[in-house]
Amino acid sequence: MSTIEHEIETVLRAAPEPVPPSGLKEQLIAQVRLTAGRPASDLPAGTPAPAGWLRRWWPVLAPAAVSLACAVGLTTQQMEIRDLKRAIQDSSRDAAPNAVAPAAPNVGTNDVSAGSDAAARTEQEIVRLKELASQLAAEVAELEQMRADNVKLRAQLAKPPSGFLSADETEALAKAKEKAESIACVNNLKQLGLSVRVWALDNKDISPPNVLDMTNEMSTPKILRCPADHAREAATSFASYTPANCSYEYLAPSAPETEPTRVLFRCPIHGHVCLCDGSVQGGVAKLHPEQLVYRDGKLYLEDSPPPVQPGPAPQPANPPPDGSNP
Amino acid sequence: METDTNQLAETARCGDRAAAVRLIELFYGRIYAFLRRLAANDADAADLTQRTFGRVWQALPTFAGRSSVSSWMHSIAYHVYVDWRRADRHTEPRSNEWWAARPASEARPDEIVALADSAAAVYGSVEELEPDLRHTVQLHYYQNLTLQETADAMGVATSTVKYRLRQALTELQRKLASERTTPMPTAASRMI
Repeated sequence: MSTIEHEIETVLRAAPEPVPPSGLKEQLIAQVRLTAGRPASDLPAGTPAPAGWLRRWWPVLAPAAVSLACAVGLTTQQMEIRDLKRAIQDSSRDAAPNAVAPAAPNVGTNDVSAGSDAAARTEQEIVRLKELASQLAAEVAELEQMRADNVKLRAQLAKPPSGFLSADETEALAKAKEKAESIACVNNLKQLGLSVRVWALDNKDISPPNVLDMTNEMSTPKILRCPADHAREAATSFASYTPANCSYEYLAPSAPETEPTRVLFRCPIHGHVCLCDGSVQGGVAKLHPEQLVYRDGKLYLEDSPPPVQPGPAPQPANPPPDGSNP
Repeated sequence: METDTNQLAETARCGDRAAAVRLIELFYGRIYAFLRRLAANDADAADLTQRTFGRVWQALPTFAGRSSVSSWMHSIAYHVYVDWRRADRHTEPRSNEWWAARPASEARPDEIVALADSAAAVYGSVEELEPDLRHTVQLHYYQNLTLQETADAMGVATSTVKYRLRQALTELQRKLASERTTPMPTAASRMI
């Protein structure tokens, strides 16, 4: 060590020591927090505290514990596998004599008889299979028959219902249909008469000059077509309405309501008439044509006929004076 | 001395408050001086001293006596200082000239001035060392810890302490030689 180095060390060792501020000692004494613990003399020499020991060795202990656990697990599994293998070997060894025992007498006694028995069993099996095949063929034929019947029945179901009805039933059904159409026709005339009266209320009690003038009073142009009039189609709207869409004869255009018996509308098919008072007389034009009288070119109903139930259209007795529609 | 302090620590460990007070009386000045040289000012040093002793009382039940109480406390103080620097993001504090106002020994006025100037140059050169070298010098020379105690306090090997001290002395020689070729500031000028 050189002289200057020694001098430096001397100076360093003689360095002045900073004096702590006053009151620091008292503060430190006031902050003493002691926790009574086991004296170190109780511990073996050089033995760290338990927490310190654990803190120091846990990086080694944790992997060691995991490795030990894995080793124990693997050993246990190996032992189990070995036991299972031994059990399998024992069971296979026990099963081998049982399997050989029944076969031993056949092999040992008579090979020819065994072969003939096998052939006989095969023939029996063939016979049994043939019987089974014939039974299955019979069942298939029966199923084919059932399928044919089924197709026939379905074809009958697909036919119109009239095919099932007798002549009387067909006639009754036609009459009922005619009656329903007649009732619908009367209903149409009622609505037309009511529309004319409503129009007349707003137009000095005069009926409209034509049907198109009272479209506002009618609910739909369908009431202008008789249900039995299959030659015409009902207009879908009043905008597309033409006289060809009307089945009824309008016989009293611009007529005052002072003539209640005057015929307003007439159905050329059923013979129903609607009078200017709004009433509808069913089938008058066909059942009692004599009651309809022309005066001054106007058609009147002279005597009120007895109320007639709307029914099937009677045979025309008196054709309308003019077959034209309005 | 070491046996006495270890006995005191053992007694304090068992809950004896008087022994704890005695430990404070023995070590708080040295710990404060150590931290004062590390920290930048008196307030931080006092705060760090209080933290150090708080941690001493917490760690006392785990003190096994493998090292001296002095090196154990210096180790705690050193780690308290490192934690403080890291937690508060302090830059490396440079001590103000704690040595300038306190001459090392009694002598004639001219000797005092000469000694103060040379000592100030040495202490100033120490402050300019790398942190590891400076801390090693402070613990070994200023705090008068042995090589083993210094190594325990810093948590390094004894050979590392020796190497660092050798490096520090070589560096100080070089600095002082270079300063002698240039005019060196006096203690009085430093105080101004």
